[in-house]
Amino acid sequence: MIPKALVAASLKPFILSLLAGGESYGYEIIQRIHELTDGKVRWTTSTLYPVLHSLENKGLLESFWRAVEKAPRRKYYRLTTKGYQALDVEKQQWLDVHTALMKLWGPQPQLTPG
Amino acid sequence: MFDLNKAIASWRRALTYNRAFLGDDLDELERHLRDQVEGLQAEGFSAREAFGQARGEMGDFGTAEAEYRKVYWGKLRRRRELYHELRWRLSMLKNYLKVAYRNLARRKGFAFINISGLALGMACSLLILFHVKEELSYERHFPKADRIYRLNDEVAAMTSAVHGLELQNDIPEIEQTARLAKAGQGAVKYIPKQGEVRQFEGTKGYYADSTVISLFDLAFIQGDPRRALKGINTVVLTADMAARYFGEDDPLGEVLIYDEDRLLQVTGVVELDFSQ
Repeated sequence: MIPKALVAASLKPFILSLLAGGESYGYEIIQRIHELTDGKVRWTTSTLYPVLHSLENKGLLESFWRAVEKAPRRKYYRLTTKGYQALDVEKQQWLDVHTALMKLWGPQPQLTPG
Repeated sequence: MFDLNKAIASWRRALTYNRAFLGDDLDELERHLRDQVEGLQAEGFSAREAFGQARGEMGDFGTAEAEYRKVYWGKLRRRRELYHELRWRLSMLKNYLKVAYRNLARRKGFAFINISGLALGMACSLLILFHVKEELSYERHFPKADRIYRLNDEVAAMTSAVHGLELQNDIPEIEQTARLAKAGQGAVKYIPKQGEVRQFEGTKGYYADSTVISLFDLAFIQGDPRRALKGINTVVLTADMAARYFGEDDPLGEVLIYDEDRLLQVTGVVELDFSQ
């Protein structure tokens, strides 16, 4: 069980990183995170969509609709130039924390047995 | 027979009038639900089971609404609908006020009782609040107020005369003490060099340690704050008292006769405002 704080902190880096690989939509994003974390993290709609909207409001993402076979159309998101810049910032910040921890834990961190 | 479309329609209806969710947002969420239901059906679940699970994962409206609210104004700004939204809210407000007024006008007696009751309640609450606040506070306008404490015994704000000195000796944290004792309401007589003897009744005075001056940072208009009250039989007057007793004459150094047999020399005049 990954604590809420960690899930919340990783939302932005995850979303920006995923969308850097190409456009996507909410449901697909949640699926991919679920796979990436080996099932340990499952975002809810209330978690993801408001953040997508917030990032869009800030100009890091832009959205567009694509018509689908059946009723409601699907909303896709893709990264803007500002978004790519923000991704770099997130990467740097995350790596800063990460390298510091790795210094303490060593390159192959072991969990204490038992 | 479970009807997926009906279920989704009823879900959507519940959210339609919620201000936090725009039409586009509901489209997005509905698409999400349908995608998820499809996915679950592919795994073998029935439509009903799939919908139940998908709907459950969506969570309750409360949290969803709270999160959506946070981004609401940002969305409006981006879509340039701020003006539109504010005008709508204004017209809703006007409508509510209109209806309220109409309802009150229809039942004037009821309105009167209600509103005056409310007004009375508010007035009383405010009064009580201020009264209590007043009662619980002492003068705060002395610069050292937050370091000054008054020692009481259980019944009155009085302790014995030796308390002050003993405590100051025993407890190092106490920086300074000052003792005050109410003097009786004796007559104060002043014999000026010229003119008649002036006598004043009902004066209020206190016996005091010389340390009161530094404790309360008394502002001296006349006299030396460091030496006034050092000797016995010295007295410091407030500006008002000085004006009252001496009028135009200079009080400093003059002698007042207290209670017919005590001679007190005026060694200072302070500015002290008792309205606090």
